[in-house]
Amino acid sequence: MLTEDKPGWPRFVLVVPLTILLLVVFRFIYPSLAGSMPSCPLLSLTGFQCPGCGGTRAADALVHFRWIDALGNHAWFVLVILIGLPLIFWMALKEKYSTFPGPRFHQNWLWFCLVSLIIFAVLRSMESFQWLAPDPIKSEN
Amino acid sequence: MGEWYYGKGGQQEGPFDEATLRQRVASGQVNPTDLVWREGMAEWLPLSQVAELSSSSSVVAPSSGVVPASPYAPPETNPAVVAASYTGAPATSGLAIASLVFGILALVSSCMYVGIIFGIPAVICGHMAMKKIAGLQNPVGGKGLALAGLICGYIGSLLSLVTIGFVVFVLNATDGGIQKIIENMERQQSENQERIEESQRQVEDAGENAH
Repeated sequence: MLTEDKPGWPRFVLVVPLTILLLVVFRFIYPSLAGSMPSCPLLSLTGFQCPGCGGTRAADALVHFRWIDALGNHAWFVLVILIGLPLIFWMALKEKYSTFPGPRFHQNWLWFCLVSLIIFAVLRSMESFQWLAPDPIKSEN
Repeated sequence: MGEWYYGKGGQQEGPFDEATLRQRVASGQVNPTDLVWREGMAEWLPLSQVAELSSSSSVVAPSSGVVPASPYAPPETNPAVVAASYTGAPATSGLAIASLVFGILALVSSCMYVGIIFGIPAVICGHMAMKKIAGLQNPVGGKGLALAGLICGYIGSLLSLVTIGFVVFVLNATDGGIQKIIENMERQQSENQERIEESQRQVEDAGENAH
């Protein structure tokens, strides 16, 4: 994904600092938001877990470094952040310094993300995999 | 090198060799808009459009079907094709990648109101990417990505709209009692959870008894 003739930082490297910034902002904003936000109507009404169910709880645990809680709420999201961000940064380094070892960016990485998300979401709704499902919401946060 | 002619004030000047012509260009005697010609060119062209006389390397691509008989082809500027020439495989359209990234984000946020915020760019990027890829002459990858991004964007937006619609409907119907309704639902949900755990325990007990 070179965007200029001479190698430099590819633009997608911005994803890394942006995501970190978002997580930091989330850490400070969320406690005040948590009480006033209504919980997920889709889940409460139908019991149907959308692919993102538990993502907010997972993010909250993640920014407070409660790794197990985070993984228990939304393992896919946590793994994508923990593994994906360094991976993206590594690929950006490789674009800039072409002698860097390691994987190039390839669209198959994205396919992997999508497919693993779908598999994750489907597994979660099955009874034998309830450990993947988010912890139930408590009425007081 | 060929002999160059140029037109100035309705008069044809030349022939000059290329070095002389360049001198005249540099001194301002010949403007970029003046027409020039040499043997081998299909027609007179403004100086600015003649590749081999251009002093910088960022050359304008030949216009409307006239191919200058120039040994220098304009450098490839399409970044996707540039990347392809490095890796030997068709590179991927950036728009298509953006489409799938937004699409995945849309799916992940689909039950919350955020879903449609990611869904809309997913759909837009997806459609734009599909059109662009179909229109490009050089092979560029990413059609599958764009399609997947489209679909995820639609699904995420749909789920999100359902959620929003439900909340709005319930708000209207109960006129502020929504908090109670949500609390009821949460209670039901934790009851469901307990029931699932209970049946799991029963399954485990049955399994142990079987041994």
